[in-house]
Parts: sequence; structure tokens; C-alpha cells
Amino acid sequence: MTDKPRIIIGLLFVLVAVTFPFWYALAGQTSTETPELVLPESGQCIVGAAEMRAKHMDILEVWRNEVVRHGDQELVEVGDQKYEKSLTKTCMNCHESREAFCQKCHEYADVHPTCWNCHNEEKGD
Amino acid sequence: MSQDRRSFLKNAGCAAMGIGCGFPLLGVGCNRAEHGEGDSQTSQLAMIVDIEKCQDPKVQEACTKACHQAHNVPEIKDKHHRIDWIKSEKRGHVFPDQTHAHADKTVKDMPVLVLCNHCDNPPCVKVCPTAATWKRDSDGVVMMDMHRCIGCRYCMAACPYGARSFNWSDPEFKETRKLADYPRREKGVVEKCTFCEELIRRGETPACVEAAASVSGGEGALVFGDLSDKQSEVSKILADSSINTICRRVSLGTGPNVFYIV
Repeated sequence: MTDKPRIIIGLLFVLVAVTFPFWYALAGQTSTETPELVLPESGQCIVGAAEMRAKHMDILEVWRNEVVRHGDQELVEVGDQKYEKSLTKTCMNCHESREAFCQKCHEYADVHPTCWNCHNEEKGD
Repeated sequence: MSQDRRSFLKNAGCAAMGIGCGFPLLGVGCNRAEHGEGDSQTSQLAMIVDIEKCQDPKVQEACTKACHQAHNVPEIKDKHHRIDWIKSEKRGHVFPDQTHAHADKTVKDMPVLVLCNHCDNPPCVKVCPTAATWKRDSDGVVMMDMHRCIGCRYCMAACPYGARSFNWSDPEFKETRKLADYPRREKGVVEKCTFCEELIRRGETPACVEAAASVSGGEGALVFGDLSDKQSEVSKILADSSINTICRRVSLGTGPNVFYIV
């Protein structure tokens, strides 16, 4: 059994490689705590929080295609409220700061949407 | 009927090839059936530029400034990187096939306002690989979807009027510009005039038309309207035998919808 040391070294190497993401995260001091969001006072959104969390990107894409490509400007009706299909005019009207809302989760999830490369925030940067 | 292995394989191969050749045709047929053979376009917006009235530099400036401000078009000094939705060009360049060698220099160098022609048969739309630019059925405006543009610049090569500009860098703005209620563009997309799509859908007139009318002497310098409506001002001007109207490079068959009163 002269291969024993080699096998052990190999196993150790595999172990380190597999657990590398955890060490890397610890070394980089990235947090795994759920981000705390600043929520608007009204507390009312076009759909529930859980659905919004899962589907906001799909909703925005559907809105974008309807407005930009099909010229469909029809307002979205939720209860007795009517909303324009617009990220800057509807979403950002309540969620006033993208730093305090959008970006917190996007950073946590390490996603980089390009919305703000072109769209302006109504209330300025 | 008895059949040996060899002839069975031959026939099967021929049949597979026949079906394979048929599929593209089937696809074309289905597309035709889906989109309809005829033209589904219901109306066509058009603009008429009165060259004489646009000779006033104030009118030209008002038009370009209003347009570029309304759409967050950055000011770029480098002429190769400039972005223009509407601009003044020398008449000799705008109408190369209507200017002859003996024409006076003042005629050749006369400034003429140029913008996207929103052609009936737009070559830019045909070449776009992502359908980022398309001709809108409802009013014939040649639209741009910046979300889809991949910046290949085929459309710029295809457009015979040079109506499109490419963003070679991320635009920089003065604060006042950047905050306007219109998205800016990023590096790597192509942009052009959209007949102020965001205004006309609210029933307003394009920014340049509005701006030209606000300058004294500029009333009627730019006229905007629907060609399918025979009572619209554009239709009346084009039908008027006492007014000489032309459009750019008719021989190319693109069917421009920006007309010029000469």
C-alpha cells in the first residue's frame, strides 16, 4: 500500500477544492444574511411580496415588450388602483431609492440588471 | 409488391429528401397565412419640410435643439462620433440626383433639414438581425427597441440616408439633460428619429414641428400628419399641384415619407 499518502493528498485536494467557495466567501467577508430592505409606507404592491420577489423580472419584461414593441399602453388594474406599465413611473414611484431597494437584493443575489444604464430615476440620482 | 433492401433504402432516402425540401416551403406558406399577404398597415405618418422656410438658422437650431433635448441626445464634438436625430445637411448631399454640375454653389450648399424618412420599404428593418428596428403597423413609424439592439450597425450600412447614429461611448450629460423624462442610451447601440413616438402616442406633435412653429417665420416650416387621411395637411400639400414637393433618392425604391417643398 505505497499509494496511501498520494490518495490522502488527493482526497485533501478534492476536499479543499469542493469547499473553496465557502472559504472564498469567508475570506471575502461577503454576508449570507438576507438583505434588509427599506419598504415604502403604503405597503401596497401590484402583486404579493412573494410573487413579486419571484416574478418581478418577468412582469417587467412583459410590460416592456407590450409598451415598446406593441404600443400597448393599457393601464394595469389592481383593485381600484390603476398603474402605468413603467418601471420608473410605477415601481420607482413607491420604491423611491434603487440603492435602498433594488440594489440590495441584486447585490446579494449577484445579478446585474442593466435597466439603469439607460433609464433615469425620476427623482434624480 | 416485393421490394429488396437496396431499393427500399433508395426510395426511403428520396422520400426523406423530398419532405426535407418541402418543409421550408411549408414554413413560408404558414408565415403568409399568419401575417396575411396584403399590407396590414393602417396609416402612414409623414413630414413635409419647407426648404425655404428652414433657411433661417434660428428655425434649424430650434428644431435640432428641441429634438436633441427631448431625447437626451448628447452633444459630441467629434464629427465621426456625433449623434444626430435631425440635422442640417448641404442640399447637394441631400439630393445628389437632383443637383447638377452647373448648379450655383449657394444652391448646392443650401442647408436642408434631414431626419429618418420612415420609409415604406425600410432597408434598415430588413437587415436587422434582432428585429430591434421595425416598421410599426399602426402608423408606419420605423421604431427602435434599444433593449434588443446589439450594435452590429447593419442598419447604418443599409440606410441610404445616413439617418442613424452609433453610440461609440457612453453618453455624458449635463445634469439638466440627464434628468429628462426619457431614457438615455448606452455604448454600442444605434439610434435615430422615431417621429417622437412618445409624444404622438399622446396625440401631440413631434418636438421639431412644435419648435419650428414657435420661431417667428417658422410657422409651417415642418408639417406633420397622416398620409392615409386625405383631409390632413400633409395630404393636402402633397396633392396641391401648385406646390413642388420632392423626396430623397426616390430611385432606390425605399419610399421615403419625409417630403421637401422646393
